[in-house]
Parts: sequence; C-alpha cells; structure tokens
Amino acid sequence: VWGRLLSWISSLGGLIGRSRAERDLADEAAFHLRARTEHWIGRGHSEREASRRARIEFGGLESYKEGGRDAKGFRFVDDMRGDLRYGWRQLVASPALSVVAVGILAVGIGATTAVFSALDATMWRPLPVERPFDLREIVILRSSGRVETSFVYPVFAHLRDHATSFSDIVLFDRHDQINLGIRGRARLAPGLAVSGNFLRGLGARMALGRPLAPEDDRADAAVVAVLTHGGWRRLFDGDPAALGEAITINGAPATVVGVTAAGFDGVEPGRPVDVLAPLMPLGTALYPNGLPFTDGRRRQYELMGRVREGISDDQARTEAARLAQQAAAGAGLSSESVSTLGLRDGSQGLESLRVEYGPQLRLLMGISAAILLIGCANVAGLLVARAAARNREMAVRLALGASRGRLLRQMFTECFLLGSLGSAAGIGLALLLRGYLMPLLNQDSAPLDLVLGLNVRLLLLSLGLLGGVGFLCGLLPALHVMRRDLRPSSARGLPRMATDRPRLFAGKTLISLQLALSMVLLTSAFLMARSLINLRGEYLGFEPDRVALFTVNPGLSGYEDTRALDFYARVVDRIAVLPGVQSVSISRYPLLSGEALRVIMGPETGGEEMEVHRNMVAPRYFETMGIPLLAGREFTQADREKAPSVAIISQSLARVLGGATIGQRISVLGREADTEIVGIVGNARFTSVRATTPPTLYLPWSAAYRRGAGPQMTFAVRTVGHPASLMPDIRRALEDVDPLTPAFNLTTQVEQNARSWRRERVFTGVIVGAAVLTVLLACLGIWGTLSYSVARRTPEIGVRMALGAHRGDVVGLVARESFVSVLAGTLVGLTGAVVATHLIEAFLFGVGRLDPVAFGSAVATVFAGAAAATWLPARRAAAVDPVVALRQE
Amino acid sequence: MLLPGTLELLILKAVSLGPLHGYAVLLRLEQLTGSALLIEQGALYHALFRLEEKRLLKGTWGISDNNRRAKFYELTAAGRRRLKSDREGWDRLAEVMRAALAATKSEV
Repeated sequence: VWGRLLSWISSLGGLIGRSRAERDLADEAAFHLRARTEHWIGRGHSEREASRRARIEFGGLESYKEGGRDAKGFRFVDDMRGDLRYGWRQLVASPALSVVAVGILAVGIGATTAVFSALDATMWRPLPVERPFDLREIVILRSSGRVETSFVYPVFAHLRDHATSFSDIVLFDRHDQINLGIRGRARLAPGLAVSGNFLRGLGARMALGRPLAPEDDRADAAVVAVLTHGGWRRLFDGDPAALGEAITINGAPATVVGVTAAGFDGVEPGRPVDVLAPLMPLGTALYPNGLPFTDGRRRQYELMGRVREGISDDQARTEAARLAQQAAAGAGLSSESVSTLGLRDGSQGLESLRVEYGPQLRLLMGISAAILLIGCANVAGLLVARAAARNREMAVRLALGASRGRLLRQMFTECFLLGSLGSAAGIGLALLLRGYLMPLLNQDSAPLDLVLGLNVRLLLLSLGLLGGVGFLCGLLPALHVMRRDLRPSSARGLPRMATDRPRLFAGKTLISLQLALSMVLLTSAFLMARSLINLRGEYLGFEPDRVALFTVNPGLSGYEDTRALDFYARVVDRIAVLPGVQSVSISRYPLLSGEALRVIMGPETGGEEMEVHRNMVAPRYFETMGIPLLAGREFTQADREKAPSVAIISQSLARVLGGATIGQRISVLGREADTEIVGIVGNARFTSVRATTPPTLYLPWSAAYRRGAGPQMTFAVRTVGHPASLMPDIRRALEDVDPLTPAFNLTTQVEQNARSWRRERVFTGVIVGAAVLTVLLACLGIWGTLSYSVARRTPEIGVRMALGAHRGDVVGLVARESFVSVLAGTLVGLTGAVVATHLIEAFLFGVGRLDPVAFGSAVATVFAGAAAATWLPARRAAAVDPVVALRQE
Repeated sequence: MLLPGTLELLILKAVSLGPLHGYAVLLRLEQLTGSALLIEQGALYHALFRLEEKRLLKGTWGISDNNRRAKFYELTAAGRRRLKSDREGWDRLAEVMRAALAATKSEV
C-alpha cells in the first residue's frame, strides 16, 4: 500500500505523460474511423452513411478509452484519486471524528518528531567538518574505569610532533567566559583556547577569512582570533566588516582573521563557543594565575586527532600511548599520568553530551512513542466504530460489484489521508515543541543550544511514521471489512446478540492497557505536582523577593588584589546611591545557584569532622538577603583588612560547634583557632531548595582575595520596587566605574530560585501533559468501543426493552461492558505506578513515593473519566426506541 | 466467434509479417481469416494495447500510406517468441481436439 501511495504521488507528477497517452488514444481512434469511413465510401456509401457505419462498427468511444486506460495501467491512478476524493468526503462528513483523529495523531507524531530531532542533534549528527568519521577523541583510561579527557601540554606537543598514525592532533580548552573588547564595549563570551592546527586539523570550513595556522600559535606571534559562525552573529550581528577588526581578548589586543562556516560552533554539540584563539600567544591572558599554561602539572587540555586512512584504531592508540609515555618521562611526570590511552569516536564531537542526555532522551522517546502507539490504537478504534456504522454502505458497494480488495484500499487510503493530515499538524507541533525540549533536559544553567533542524534522518522518520501510522490505523478497520458477514444485519434472520465477544475483547484489552498507562502517568503527575507546590512553598531562610543579582569578574580585566577589592567598593558605593535601592552587598556565591564551597571542618579544633558550606560576603549581606541576624553584628568595612580573623556563623553551625557564642574563637582555613565569631545568623538554603540547610560559615569578602586575580563575585541589590526595572541603571553604574568589566548573569533572586527547580517544573509539565493526554485517549477509546457495541446491539436492546427492561437496566448493561476493563486497567495501573514511581523518586520533594493522596487522586480521575466516557453511549442505548429498533430487523 | 486468447495470437501473427497500424491489422485479420471470424473493433484495440503493455508489440507513431499520422505496431523479440510458442501450443491443442472429436466408438 505504501509503495502504491508513492506511485500515486509520482503519477501526480506524471499527469503530463498521462494526458499525452489520452491524446494518443483519441488520435488512434480518429485515424481508424477515417480509414474505415473511406473504406465504406469506397463501397459506394454517402460520406454520412459511411461515417455512421464506421462508428457503429467501432463501438462506444468511451468504452474504447476505458479499455485503453485499463490496459495502460491508468486505472489504478484513477481509482486512487477516486479513493482520495471519497476518503476526503468521508472525513468531512464526520468532522468531529476526523478532527479528533488528526489531533491524536498530530500530538503523537509531534512529540515523537520533536524528541527525535533532539536525539538526532545530540546523538547522531556528525560535526560539520570534512570526513568527520576519521576524528577521534583521545582520552586517558584509568584503572578505576574512569575516563579522563585532560592532558598536560608537553604530552600534546610531543604527540603533535611525532605521531604518524594521525594526520593531525589538535588541542583545545574551553573557557566559559572570555572578556572580549569589541568596538569599545566589553562582552563576555565562551571560547576555546586552541592549538594552531585546530581548524585545519578538524577540517572545519570557513565562511570568511582564513582558519588559524600553526604560525599563529607561537609565543611571539601577533594574537589573532577566529569567530565561530554563531559568535560572529551574536557579537558582530553578522557584520562582514568584523574581518580584520581589532578586538581584545582578556585585555590582550587581537585581530579577527576568520569566521567559520555556519554550523561549526566548536566541538561540543549543545555548548557552542563564540571565539577560537591560539593558546601560545595568549597564554598568560587566558591563564592569569597559578601554574604556567605549558607546565607539565597543568592538566587542562583536551585532544582530538584525525586518524590517517588505512590506520586501525588499535595501531593509532598504541602509537599515541607510546609517545605519551615518552613525553611524560621527558617532562618528568610519572607515567601513571597518561597510564592507558583510549580513542573514542569523535565524529560528533565530544561524547559528554551524549552520555549526559542520552538516557533521558531515550526515556522521552519511549514516552512519546507510547503516546503515538496509543493514539494509533485509538484512531483505529474510532475508525472501526465508524466502519461498523458504514456496514450498510460497504455491503451495498460489495453488492454493486466492488471487490474486497477495492474496499480495503479505500480503507487504507482514508487512513493515509488521516495520517498525512496528522503528520503535517504533528510536524508543525514539533517545531513549536522543540524550543521547550532542551531546557527540560538541561541540568545546569550552562546554555544548551542545539540546532534542531530538519535533515534527511528526520524526513525519513516522518515518512516512516506516516507509513506506520496509516498501516496501524487501517489494520483493524481493514479486518472489519475482510469479515465475511459484511451484509446488513437486516439480511440475517435473528437479531445479533453478544456474538462479537472475541473482537470486542481485543478492544477492551486495549482499553485496559491504556487506562493502566494513564494511571501510571497520572500518579506520577500528581506526585510531581505536589512536589512542585512543596518546593515553591518551602521557607528558604531568606527573602528572595525584590533582590536583583549580577556577577562581575574584574580579574578578567586585569584587576588584582586590593585593586579588585577597591573596584568592588566603588561599584557598591555607586549602586547604593541609585534611587530605588534599599541596600547592596556582594558574595562569592549567589544563593540557590548550585555553586558552593564545601569544606571539611572540625579536626583542627579537635572536634568531629563535618561538612561546612563557606561563603565570602560583604557588609550588609544578611540585611540585603533578608537572612535574620540572631546575635552579634554584620561584617563592616573594617573587616576587609581583618579577614579571615572574623567570621559569622549560621545557627546550625553554632549548634554543631556545641553552642558557639559571640566572641568565641574558632579555627578556619587551617589556621590557629584565632578567628573570632562576630555574628550568628539564621539558617538559609545555600545550593538548592532540596539540599538540607548545611552548617554555614561566612567570612569577609576579602578572604577570597588572598593572592592574584580573585574569582568572580555576585552582587545582591535589594530594591524598593521591582528589581528588574533597576537593571539598566545597574548596568550603567557599572559601566561608569569601568566599561571594560561587564556584568553578567543579570537576574533576580526569584528567577534564580525558579531556575533551581526548573527541571522539576518542566518535567511536571511534560508528565501532566502526557497523563492528561493518555487519560483523554483512554476515555475516547472507551467511548468509541462502547458506541460501537451499542450500535451493534441496538436490536438486542430493542428486544430487551420490548420485553420489559427499564432504561436503568439498559444503562447497566452498557456500563457493565466497560466496568471490568476499567477495573482491570486501574489495578494493573496501580501496580505499575508503585513500580514506576521509583523512576521519579529523585524529583520528589516533601511527598512520599507512595503518597496516598496522589494515588487516590489518580484513581478518582480515571474513574471519573471512565464514567463520563461510559455515560454518553449508555444514554444513547437507553434512548433506543424498541419499535424503531425492531423494525430495523 | 473467437476463443479467448485467440485474438491476441492472431494479432501477433498479423503483425509478424511487417509493421501495421491498427486499422491495417483489422484488414489483415479479415483477410487472413477470410472474414470467417467476426472481430469486434473495440476489442481489437484493447488487445493491441494489452500486447503493447506486455511489451510483445512495440507501437510507434508514423505516417500512413495516405499521409496521415498513425500508430504502427511491430513485433518485439518477446512477441516473436510468444508467437512461436503460442502457435505450437495451438497446433497441439487443435491436433488433440481434432483427434478427440474424430474418435469412433471402437476406439474408445
């Protein structure tokens, strides 16, 4: 059937050829008629008579053409077009059913396509480079089974210079934030520090300019940079003048020499970078503190290689391992540091994304495929119900000489029509859905930006889905047509009693299964919803409302030590005087960002070992964040110089320390017990809402700046009005202090909180949506099957009523039909839910996995839906007029 | 009256003597059979189309004796083989039928 559909499509294109064949047919007949007319004229007939004789002899012109088309195989096309027209009329004739069926298919196909496109982008799409399948990621296999991807520079240099089984070995190191000075403004953008052969070695194509060259990667070379296509669009709005422009990279002057071709945004799908810069000339700008960047102890760089043609992975690996050992020995490193090398497929870039999201995506794929299958089952059920209603029509067509094959084809044509409409709507839906799909899977706040475009694989999927859907939906109705007793029931002697048990049984099993699945999803949905409510309502120990947050990293602009602290002080002063600002402070870690410094405390004071969260905060921090100060004082400007000899502790830490009080001295940062507790504050959640509030130690903000360029710091600004409205003023204030040190992560504490349960929120949305959908589908299934059954049993019901059955009895009769399948489905579903809720246990908050409220609500919902779906056909059965019903017999 | 299948065999035979257009096939058949068989003209063309579709005949548009555009049919290699085998089959059948019908009581 599928092939026939294709041939039908192709014949649409071949209509021209067809019209020529039609013309040939007519020409041939005309020639014959003229020749025959002349024949009769030659026998002495008048021209008129001759022509008449010729035509009579020839016979009907239409039947001649019909036969011609038949012989030439056009009949099928004509039939197909007829089927399509007829099918379309059927769909239009029952619009409600058609809309529902198309809707069901669209949701299933849409969800499947959307998930598939994400799966495709993460799992299967090769990097847009030349011969991606020769690329390998070089990794270190630890004896513990762990896989490490970081190498030291000397090993890379040795491999690059001596490996013969690789045509190229390239190095890269991701920097989430590079401070780019572009046209006088500072922009923070992710980038890669790379070896000079990076782009050529990977075989990346360029849209503009040239790729980096090995000569660019010398310590004394002028700094050049290549923008990725995405970076070029983001940073320069795709302005071709960017080529040759002077920019700064963490303060170092550089020139843009190229832009990569569209699609190449680095080697990690989903984590694009904006800029690629050579490592050697930029070294100290990119690695401002700590070890020199080529030091044998800086285990930092990731490697990829392109295996030469004809070299097996084993050969390549063996050679690389030998060279790495040599390099490690030469650099005075233990050979353990490169113990065993391994090669991983690098054709799609780094593997991390696949490992991280693969299982989740497959789970989602399973859910959406299940929805699609259930949808097909439902549509099939609806079509069977309608086919039953069309028994008479089918019988008439059979009586008029249509073959069963012809009716079958008609059925499948209708299903493909439905499938095509469903596919079209589904693909539209998928385009809408995919924007919401990746955030759902995004575990951290790092941007996951995948290009979810159409490609051959997606197209094949769509066609496959269309074929599968058409077939699955058509199968049951087709079987219905194939049944022998496809005569109107009036042709039979006796009213039909419950003779359809086997076939109805299949339908009912289907319903039970659907209900069971709905139960599982519904239970999960109720559990998730309750968790989300709990998460939102949880008291966090601080006041998130009206707090604006932003982060700066002056270290990237060359601020060090006291200069950085002065910078912070200037920004604080500047913002504090903005109208609408109540108070402002800074901290090393923003709350609920997932970031924290966990340290082990205790042994140095002789106490128990315990995990303590540590944050570095400025004056008025607790006031700004709304954390209650229980005793003592906040930090003051004077504490800047005293760090770390003063500390503020949380109530829980005080308790762990055995009831510590103000003035008590404790040991921090491995020093003597000379740090004085100056304040005790309330407990506040630190990394996430879920994590139980840890004992927390607060040190003065300057403690973060003991040497060199310090880390980034986050400002918290408590406002009088809505914090978002203050953002432009804040940005301007910061630019006034230093235009080359931009703020990033501008947000509000409320948004920050929401982000920390975003995954729960989206997952809840997905599960609730899937649950609602499956419940609706299951109810639709009940309704369809019962309607069908009522339609078939109308004569029987008529007899029963004529014999004195009441309406209530009839309703009971119908209700009994669904009762068993509903009960069975619910029970199976409950069991399934008990097992399946294990899977979502990690997402739950403040509610047990077997929460009776959630389970009870799910059962109630299923029963309510089933009751509603039973009520409609039951009412129709009760409305049967015995006289009319019996007259039908 | 024609037995089923015989019309196609006759057409193959008619065309085997050289390319003919549809009307000429008709005339040739009448000539070959001495007008003993009534050939429906519509059926003749349908048979021609079927044979063409089966690639036993090849149809090409050309110019007739009186300068009109006409479609000429000629045997393909497959058509020639079919003609040969069908003809042998027909001969056997005719032989068997004749023998069977000629049988006298003593021979049974």
